[in-house]
Amino acid sequence: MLSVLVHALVFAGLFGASLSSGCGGRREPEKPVVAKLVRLGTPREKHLLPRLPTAPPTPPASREAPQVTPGKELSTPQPPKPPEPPKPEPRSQPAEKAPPASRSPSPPAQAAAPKGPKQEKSELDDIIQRFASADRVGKAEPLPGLPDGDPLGDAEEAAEGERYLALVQKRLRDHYVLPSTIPEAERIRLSAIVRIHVDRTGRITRHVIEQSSGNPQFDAALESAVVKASPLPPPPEHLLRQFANGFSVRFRY
Amino acid sequence: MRPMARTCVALAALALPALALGQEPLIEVSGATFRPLPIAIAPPIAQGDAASPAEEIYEALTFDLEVSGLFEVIPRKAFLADPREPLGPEGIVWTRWADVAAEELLKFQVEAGPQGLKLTWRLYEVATQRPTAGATLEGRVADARRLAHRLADEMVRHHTREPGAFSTRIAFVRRPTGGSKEIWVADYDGRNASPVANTRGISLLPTWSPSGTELAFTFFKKSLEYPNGHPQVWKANLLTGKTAPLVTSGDLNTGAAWSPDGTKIAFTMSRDGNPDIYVVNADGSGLRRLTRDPSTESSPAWSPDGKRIAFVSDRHGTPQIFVMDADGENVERLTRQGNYNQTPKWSPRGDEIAFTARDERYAFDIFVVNVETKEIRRLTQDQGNNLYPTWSPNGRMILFVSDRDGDRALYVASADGRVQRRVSPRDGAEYSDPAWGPFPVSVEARR
Repeated sequence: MLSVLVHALVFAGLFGASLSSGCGGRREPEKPVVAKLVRLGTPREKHLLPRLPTAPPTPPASREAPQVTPGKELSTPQPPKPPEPPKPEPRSQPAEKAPPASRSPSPPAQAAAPKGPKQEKSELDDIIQRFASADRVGKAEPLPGLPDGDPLGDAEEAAEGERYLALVQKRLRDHYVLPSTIPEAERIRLSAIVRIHVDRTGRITRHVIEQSSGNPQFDAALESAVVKASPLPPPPEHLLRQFANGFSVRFRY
Repeated sequence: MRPMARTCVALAALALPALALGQEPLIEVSGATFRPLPIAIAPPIAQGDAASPAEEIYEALTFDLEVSGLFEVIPRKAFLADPREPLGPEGIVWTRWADVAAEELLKFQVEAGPQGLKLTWRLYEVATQRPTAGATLEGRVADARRLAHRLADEMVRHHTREPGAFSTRIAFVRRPTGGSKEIWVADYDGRNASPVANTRGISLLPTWSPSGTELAFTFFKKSLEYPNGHPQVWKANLLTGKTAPLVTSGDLNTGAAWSPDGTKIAFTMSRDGNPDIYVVNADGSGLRRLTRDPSTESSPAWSPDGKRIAFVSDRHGTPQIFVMDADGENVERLTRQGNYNQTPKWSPRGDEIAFTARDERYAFDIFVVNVETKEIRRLTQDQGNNLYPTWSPNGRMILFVSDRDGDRALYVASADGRVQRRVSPRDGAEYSDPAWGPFPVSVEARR
């Protein structure tokens, strides 16, 4: 009986001490338990180089009289046995399935399009026509994902966690825009925590910068991202109570 | 903090399981989109007969600011302001600039006098209507574009506190129709181009000395023994125009790279048909072998601190990018995607390596691999073949070769690949092997 009492006292004392020495106070949010929503689609093989979601904008260069003078270096990696060269057919509309990227859906670059019939045949054209058959080059194609992926997903690989948080994360990231003029050297150190309060409908009712990055440009951009991201998706029933006091978001470069 | 925090967490978990269960999630958001700053460059105010150099400055300045990746230059056609609006701040109708979504307004005035050109510029923040920077630059009428480059350098420094690279030089290989491949140097935008030496042969793969006064390159020397030429590493002095062989032993020497301190040159040398990386002192003495593998090792590139060398090796079957210490130890494979990765170039910040890779559609494109995380990002896609990346000395731009317009030409891109612009002229010549030169010594000293 005594031992139980002593134990309880020691325990309480220890806990009190730890509280007073900085462990208590505000709970430090520790572990992100955010799901990663994998994109619906087919996986991209691991050994392949990455592809851009959309073609970079074509430079405003005039395209008259292209003159191909193939260089030695370019033709050295002659691929093995060429398949039947496909007939150059007029390029049709961009793919019906536009990628889910939010960037401007610029039409595919014209640069790699098959050259006109007058164009002198060159090794380079051969390579392009044989191995990147005309209808594939520059076409907007679906991004890699998984067959059982989420239609709203944007990750290539899934991670377990709370789906709602992943949707919030995605929505915030879509609006997470920083000025290019922040020096590269400072970017890696940039980190700030914003506390966000949402109501039942997902509308952001209040936001506070809990931990500033020290860079006013960065903090201002975060506030603007939070404002623009409202409304968030409405939180599911089981999270309403937990989010009564809002939730924290750490923005990093 | 760690041990204390762990104790706390353990105690909290023991004593108050409810609190531990109620631990709230922290959502991490990273991967920001970087938005270039919308800037308006007001039509130039020309005084005297400065109208034509003023337009030249306007054109070069627009090109520089766009390709820096920092700015989005608002097209002049969209402007609502009176084209005769003064340099300001008095007389500027701010709403006209705010209405075209300009966050900054750059104004400049050009005067032509007997001493040459005088360029006065002022930068304003549109929202606050306040001037934030400005200066006066002077130069020869023939150097109008270079005045623009200096202004653009000031703009980069003002916004990022890092030097701009618009006043630097580039070296490349140029072959006119029916002519021979010679090394040329030019301003970064391809203007003021001139040949380094007329070797009447094949010269390839130039590399700059850190001082910017010398180039090393691969020269196919013709002799009785090798009537078609035999590759050797040569040096050219840009001040005197003199060329001289640096390494003549071995069957094949090529792909030189100057160490950042200027004392050594790494290159590929083949002996008995086995190419490996060697290093030699800049005066040609002290030849040392760095790699000893029966496979092909080539294309050495120094890290900016001179402690490591990136190179290409096909020791695992396909050409891939590797890094090793500058003494040849601690070899590490960097790329595991793609099966044809070549021409590594270390970024001036040291964190990334740009390279050429052939993707699964057999298109050559520019990629960048992070040295620490080994993550690969892509710069070019679906625009012909893109090869031979080389970094600007401030790491904000990449120069490369592309055949997207039919001919092999030089292009410059912002380091994120967002803006890509042609720099070499449409003169029927073929351009390749670009090498971006260092900062002028005075700029380097100011950093």
